[in-house]
Amino acid sequence: MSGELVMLLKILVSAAFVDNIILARYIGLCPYIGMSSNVANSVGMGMAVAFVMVLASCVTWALWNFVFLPLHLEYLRIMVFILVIAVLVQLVEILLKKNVPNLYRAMGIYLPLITTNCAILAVTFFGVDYGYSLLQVVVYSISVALGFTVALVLLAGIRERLRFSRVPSFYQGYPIVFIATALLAIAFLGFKGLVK
Amino acid sequence: MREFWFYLKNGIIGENPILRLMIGLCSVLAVSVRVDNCLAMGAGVLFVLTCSSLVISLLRNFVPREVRIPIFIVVISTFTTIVDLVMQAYLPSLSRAMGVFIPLIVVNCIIMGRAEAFASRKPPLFALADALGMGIGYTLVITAIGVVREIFGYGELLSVRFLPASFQGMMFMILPPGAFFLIGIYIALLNRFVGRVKQ
Amino acid sequence: MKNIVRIALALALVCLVAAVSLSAVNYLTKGEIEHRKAEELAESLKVVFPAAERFEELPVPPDAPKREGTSILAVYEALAQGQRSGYVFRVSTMGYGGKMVLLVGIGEDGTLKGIQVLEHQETPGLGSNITEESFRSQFVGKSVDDPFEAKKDIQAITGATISTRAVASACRGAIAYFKEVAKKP
Repeated sequence: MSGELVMLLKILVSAAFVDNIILARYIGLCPYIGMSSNVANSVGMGMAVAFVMVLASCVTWALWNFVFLPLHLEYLRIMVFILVIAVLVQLVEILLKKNVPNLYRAMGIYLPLITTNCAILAVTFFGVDYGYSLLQVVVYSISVALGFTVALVLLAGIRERLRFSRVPSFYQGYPIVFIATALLAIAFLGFKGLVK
Repeated sequence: MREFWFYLKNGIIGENPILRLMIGLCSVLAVSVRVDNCLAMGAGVLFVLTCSSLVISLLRNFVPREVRIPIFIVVISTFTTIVDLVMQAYLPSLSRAMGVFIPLIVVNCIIMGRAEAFASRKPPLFALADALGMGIGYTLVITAIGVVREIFGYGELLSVRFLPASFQGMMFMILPPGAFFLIGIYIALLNRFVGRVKQ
Repeated sequence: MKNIVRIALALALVCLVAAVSLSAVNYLTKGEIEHRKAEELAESLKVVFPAAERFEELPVPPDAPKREGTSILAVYEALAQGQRSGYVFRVSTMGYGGKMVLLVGIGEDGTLKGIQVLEHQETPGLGSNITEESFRSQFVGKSVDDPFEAKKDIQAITGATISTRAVASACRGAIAYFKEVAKKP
């Protein structure tokens, strides 16, 4: 049993830090650049993404193992997985609108945009390609979402500070954000080799 | 006819998807390590973007508004799957090198974004112009990044040794930070020479 | 009510056209894709065991325990002149940057015929050099009774000791499985 637990821990650490989906794999950048302007938004975004990511991973895992493989429908994977995500995001939208209208309004356009979040689709692919069990898929998707949120919050913190720095005019706005991200990515390189 | 060229040019410079609209970034950073990957990715995006925009524009008067997003998704994912299958069959090493980023073309914000903002509202000819412009603009930028990364990271261009063998290669350029860094620089350069976008 | 019918119809129609075109493309490319995969596999197996004429896959129990931190993914019997001359093991282990998949060819005589790195996530320029011929060639001809330890009988790559160790342990894992399999008739 402990071997299984160690494996889950390894998945957690590597998915969240060593192989951070944004800083090490560069997947999921669009909302990263768009939503990280302040820490509060980043946390909200991270949680919404986490919710959809975990649910989508489980649903697609089940579909893959019980429908796609037996029926040799692998080629329909792209279409079905992204449709599953779209449906889930729609559901989240409806739920939020009814139960947490403030957050719904704060997220605005970025809520439906979660559908096109490369990270969620990528994680659904990885969940089945890595041959994980359902439990491993759940841990994996939660860890990736955690890493995603951490990266988002870190950058948001930096951007809030940047507002008080003197940045050369051509670098103002997005250029300096990218360079800051480059530095963050270098820092995360330090995690390599952590998981034996 | 003049409008056609306007939309085309706009996609390449004025509203360049990567450097101005800041969309479609995911694929750029990971794929742009080698120039042949960049060209393949550019071609893939161009194909999916053009075909999807055309189809969506042709369907624009028949698709009920409420269900337009799922329909866009089905159309785009169909063309993306075609690219994926064709590459697996006829360009297997490229397909393996680019990995998950080919299927990820389906969520490339450029394609979905243009479908919603443009292709679903304009006649096919203009949708085509916009798609071509955006696709070419995308390919140009990703290749510009790839050229720098391959030369300074591997000392090669298109896998042909370019710099003397004693040049070990800057690892910074091969790893993620180098890519982020280059995009920042390119955006700054574009701002400097072609005028800034209102922040 | 009529509106919902319109919506459902539009959606269904588009999905139908999409599914049909994809099935068509899938059908057209399927043969080529399978062909490529088989070709690729045959090529890699040959690189690792050049003396063999053909290979046959053997079943691997799905719950096979790991040996030396290495998982056995597949086993191929290497045949020459109708006789078994050895095995090729497809194994995976954890390297410095992530999962590493290798092919290890071992002859009936207990010597390594070669190794090939299929997948890895090692650092470019450092650990990635495990794919270089100069690194891999040192494994050819080694005996299954050698220790296979980095810096002892295996020359490590400067600045990539962990990657080297991973390759070494993958070999040890393959060898351990070989010793079990070779006992069977």
